[in-house]
Amino acid sequence: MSIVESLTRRSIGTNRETRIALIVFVACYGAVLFVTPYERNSYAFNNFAVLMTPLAIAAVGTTLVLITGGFDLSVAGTISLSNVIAATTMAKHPDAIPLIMLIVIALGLLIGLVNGLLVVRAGLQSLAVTLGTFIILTGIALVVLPAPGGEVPEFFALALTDPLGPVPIALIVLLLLAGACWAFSTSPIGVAAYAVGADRQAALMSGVRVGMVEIVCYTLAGGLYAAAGLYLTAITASGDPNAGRPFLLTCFAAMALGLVGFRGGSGSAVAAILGAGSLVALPKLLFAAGVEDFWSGALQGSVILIALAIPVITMRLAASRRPRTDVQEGVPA
Amino acid sequence: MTHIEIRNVSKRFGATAALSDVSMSVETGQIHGLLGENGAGKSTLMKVLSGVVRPDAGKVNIGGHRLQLGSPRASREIGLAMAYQELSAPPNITVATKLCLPKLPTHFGFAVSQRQLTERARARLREWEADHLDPHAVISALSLAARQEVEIVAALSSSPKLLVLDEPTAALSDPNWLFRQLERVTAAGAAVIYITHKLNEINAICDTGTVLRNGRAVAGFTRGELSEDELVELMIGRSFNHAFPAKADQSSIGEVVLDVSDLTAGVKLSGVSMKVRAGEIVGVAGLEGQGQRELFYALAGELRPRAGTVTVSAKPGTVDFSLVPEERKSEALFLQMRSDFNLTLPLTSQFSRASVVSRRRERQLSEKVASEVNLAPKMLTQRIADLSGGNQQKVVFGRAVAQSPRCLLLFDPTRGVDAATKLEIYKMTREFAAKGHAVLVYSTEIPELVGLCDRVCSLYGGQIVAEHTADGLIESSVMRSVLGRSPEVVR
Repeated sequence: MSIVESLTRRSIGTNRETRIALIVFVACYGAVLFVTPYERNSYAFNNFAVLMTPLAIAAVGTTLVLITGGFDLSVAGTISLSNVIAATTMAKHPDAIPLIMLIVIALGLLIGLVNGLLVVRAGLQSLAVTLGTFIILTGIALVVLPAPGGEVPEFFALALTDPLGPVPIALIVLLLLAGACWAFSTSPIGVAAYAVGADRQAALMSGVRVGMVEIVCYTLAGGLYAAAGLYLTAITASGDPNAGRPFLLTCFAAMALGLVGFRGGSGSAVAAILGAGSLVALPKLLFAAGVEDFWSGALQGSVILIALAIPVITMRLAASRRPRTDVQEGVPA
Repeated sequence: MTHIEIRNVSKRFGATAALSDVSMSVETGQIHGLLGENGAGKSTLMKVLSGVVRPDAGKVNIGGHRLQLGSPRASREIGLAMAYQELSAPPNITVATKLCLPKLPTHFGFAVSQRQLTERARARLREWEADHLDPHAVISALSLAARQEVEIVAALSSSPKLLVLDEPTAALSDPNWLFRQLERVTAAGAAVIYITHKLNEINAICDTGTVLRNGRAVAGFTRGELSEDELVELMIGRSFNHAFPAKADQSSIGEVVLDVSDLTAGVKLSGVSMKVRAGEIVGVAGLEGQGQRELFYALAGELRPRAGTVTVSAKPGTVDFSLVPEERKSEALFLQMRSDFNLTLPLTSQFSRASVVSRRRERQLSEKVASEVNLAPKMLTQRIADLSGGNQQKVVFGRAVAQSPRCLLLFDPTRGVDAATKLEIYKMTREFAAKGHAVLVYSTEIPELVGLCDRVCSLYGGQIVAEHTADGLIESSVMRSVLGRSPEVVR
């Protein structure tokens, strides 16, 4: 067994998705580097990594929930809330910034825990529950900061966005995030999460503590959204009660680009991180080509469809190359 | 010493009493058969034991300890293991993971150790004589029989004090393998509750048994005390004629309806030719995975054949085939919908005009079909998932027959169906054939094929190796041919 195989066998059937997401990312970012000479320096690279980090962190959160078969819309509300809290408190209490960060993340975990409890204990549908919390949190964010404004100390912003010597801090954050995703997928609870997403009843009958697994995933996701909100605050250095709103669509787009199965039970959070990178690279490509920014949505959507088509196309190709005995349409053995 | 004791367990779901005052006990080292029609309360009793359902009253003692009811963890920890009929392995995990759930071996309590996982799974498979299973195989890629084996090995290897098996041999290709393993666990001091519809298994392996009917324990028995006919009577609460419906006489069999020639499909089916005539029921016998599924699904249009021709004598206004598939829940039913929806979906054109569906005519049609398959009218408005397996199968059967196909394909139509419904299905199949239709039926139970069919073809290695008609249609010769032992193969 090769090393790659032994590493990837740990997570369940997600290698191909990660590979495709990597190809798409390399193609997108490679195209950016190819057509725009001014992107080929460490400063631009740092910028790129910084820009994709909040989306990557948030997309990992939604992926955790999606693996268990749930949809988490509260991502947008949690990011908005964490953004406005940071932007209204950090400048006033610059000494307490680490504490504020901890509190914000704890708040995110708490929001996730509430989502999880409502879904698991009350048996409500995840889409409905998280739609509710999304609206509530957005409302609270408006109360905290009614209009865009607020500020954060410069050192906080720079600490998270400036490179540490030659290495962008954002890259370190992304690598740590990817490592954590991998560790999660190889942990017993990660394996259980995939089982739950594929067949909840079967997981229950196999002795998996289904409710606990789901609650852990929702809770971790909430903490990740709060962290994404903090990172976003460091980038924008200000607050906006609607800051999280764009993340709702882009998180799901990043997961689609990472080929995370929307039915649950499949997909890799690392692939979702790569998907986030591709999504951030695409508008740069348009900018370089001198196309109006309004087209970026069309391009992102098209790339998502192409990424989704890749496994189907490769499967068809493989099937047509192989002797036909293996073709067994529609009948599982 | 009484090992497990179930005392006065009752459970109501709304207006219906699923279990009323059920008591039974199982001794250490014994196998206790649990019999009953679908809907008699067997699965509710199982769910009470496994902790999924909390009973309204009653208590359960296992090995002298009182079981905390309504907690799956408490049930597991007290030493209770179950092998479910509907198979409890999530489709996307490997055999090794299923065998080690819920406690996966880890490095330092965190990352799952793949090496230990595989080793432990291998050891368990070896211990229970199932080492032909690959621990790395993903569950969804396994055949039904292999998944059933995994399910059973997983239950066996948790070293249970009480092992509960729900219709374990429904999908197994070799029941003797299971019986050998059961001997070993009982010798080690475990008690076994064995739920089955196969009456011959009851007297073959069970030391004691209980018959459930309408949620009540109506009789207890020890081995050999009751004959199969008496057991059936206890189960359905009345006596009935155990025999299969009379076979067709030669004069009532008409022209060839289905003519299959050199049909090759999937990986397994290679070059099958057969003819089925109007009014004739033809059986297909075979061990698991001999190409029977490919044959039926290719005819039904679910699988594209690679070679060969299929000819159906034309008759205007009818469909050529309709299929009662292997897995009722996943392949046939819309579990969330009502029975009438399930019954009439393919017939929508019969009760709609100019793209408007007439609810009144839909109701009339569904009532008509329901009465043809002896389904109680009140069940039509119930969610199909809430019906018992036998009643679900009547809906599936009724839907297939209502399309009035030239050739009816029945793939294991009595799987997981209670004895009374089985007989009704035999009768309805015969009546349908007598109306001039061709019927092709596969069953895992050879006695059923011998009793029901006019002719039986044996499949072995994807080919028809023998055909049994008239006097040659006896159980032993069919059994020999499906094992590949007939002269045609040995030469």
